[in-house]
Amino acid sequence: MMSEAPSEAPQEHKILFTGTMGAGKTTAIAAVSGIKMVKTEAANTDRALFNKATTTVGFDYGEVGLEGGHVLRLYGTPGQQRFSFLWKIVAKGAIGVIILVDNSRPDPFEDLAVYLDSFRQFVDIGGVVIAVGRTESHQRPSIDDYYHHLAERDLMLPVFAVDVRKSEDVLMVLDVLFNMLEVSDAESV
Amino acid sequence: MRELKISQVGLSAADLKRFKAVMIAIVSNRDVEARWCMGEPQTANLVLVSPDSDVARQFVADPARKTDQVIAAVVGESDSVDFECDKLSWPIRLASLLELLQRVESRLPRGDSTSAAEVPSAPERNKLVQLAKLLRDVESGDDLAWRINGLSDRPVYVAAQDKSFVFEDSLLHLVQFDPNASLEMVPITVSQVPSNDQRRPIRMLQWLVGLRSGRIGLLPWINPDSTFRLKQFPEFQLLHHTIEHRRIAAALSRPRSGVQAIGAATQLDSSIVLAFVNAASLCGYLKIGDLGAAAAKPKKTSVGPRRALFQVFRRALGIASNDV
Repeated sequence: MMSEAPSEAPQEHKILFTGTMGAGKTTAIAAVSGIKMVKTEAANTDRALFNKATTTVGFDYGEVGLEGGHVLRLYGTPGQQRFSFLWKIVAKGAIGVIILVDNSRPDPFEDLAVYLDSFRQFVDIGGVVIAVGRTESHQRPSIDDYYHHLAERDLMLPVFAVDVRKSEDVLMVLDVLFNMLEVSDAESV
Repeated sequence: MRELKISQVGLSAADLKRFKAVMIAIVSNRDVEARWCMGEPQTANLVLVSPDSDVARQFVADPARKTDQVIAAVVGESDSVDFECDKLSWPIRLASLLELLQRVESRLPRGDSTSAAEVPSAPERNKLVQLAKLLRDVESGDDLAWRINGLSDRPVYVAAQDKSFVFEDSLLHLVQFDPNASLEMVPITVSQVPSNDQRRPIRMLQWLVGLRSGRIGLLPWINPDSTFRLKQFPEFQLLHHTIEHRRIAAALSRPRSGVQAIGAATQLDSSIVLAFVNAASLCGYLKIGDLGAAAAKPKKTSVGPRRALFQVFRRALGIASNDV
């Protein structure tokens, strides 16, 4: 994990957006990326599971230019679980993870559990924020329910109802992630 | 209650952190007669200075400086200072700073308040606490409703049943309501609450009133020495908040023993911390009580090594404005 403020040599910093297919990873990255996104989309062969024409099979990529030529790289993992072998590869060197949950799915808690388990090392340091989408049309489980669910797992992580099409929502989630990581840093000094 | 301002010039980062933490403890324990707030050196009633700092020496020597301002040099017990001033023993301790504040309070004329108009007088203060209590108890879900006058030109209607409120105007009119306004809470029937599309979640009103009540310190039912931890994060996507509130929330994702520890962890002004605690408490976001040995004691260092890096991220992403 990178741990220093930018110095002379340009550095890269990585944040991961993960979640089920259709949760909005591509949209979230596009909302804040400073460049035209790189998408690795292919025809969706899981139409029975999720009705969208294309889905990400490699990973999405966006970036934000920083002072001194440094770069903040934003990666979106492929949503389909059969590509989960890629998650660990993409996660290597990341500083934090945003888990996007689609509240319209049959069992959002089960979805969440998959990602909490897969990115356990980030959960352990408080480097995770959970962003729940489609809460307007699907109000259950509520955000309160998510906190109860996390408490049962003895976890306290930020959970927000977001609309990833709105850049202010994505920026808020990113800022909370930065704050969580700062707290984690300070506690470990 | 008169409001007095305290500031500093030239203190080291470590001394500044300690100063803020001690101030939070003094303010939250209500050990002083006046309401002490952080202010700018030019207008403060009391300014702590480091005699080793060139900036501080220039400030003390500035002929345009406020004449009735008390200057206190932060020095070791046996050190002398070559300009006329009070002394505050280094390192800054609660007892010595408290003693200095009380000395300054007795020295300054009671009419010398820098912004007394902003501090609610006793009756208004009581009304604000009453309103906070009403909103706290709204969570019970009773079949009750109120019309609240004085928060803005238009009344605010509160309906306990569905934990909502109605305000037929922009919420911006409520964000900075006048704490000196004469508040009135009139019980009404549920049918008297306007039934329109303006119903908003009660948490938005609880949050705003909680933040404004920070001006009078912690709400009376909150013990400043309790252990604090968030049950859930404030719904920032919904609530009028500042980036400092996100910082406090992250700090409170772990248990903190006393409001002093929250201030130490965030390095924020006590008034911001107290306002957040009041607001989060009213909204039910905060767990207050004895959480046992897990509560984090204030750390020697509360700034992590990547703080500068995250600030670079924020600037690049445009997360810089204070009001969000």
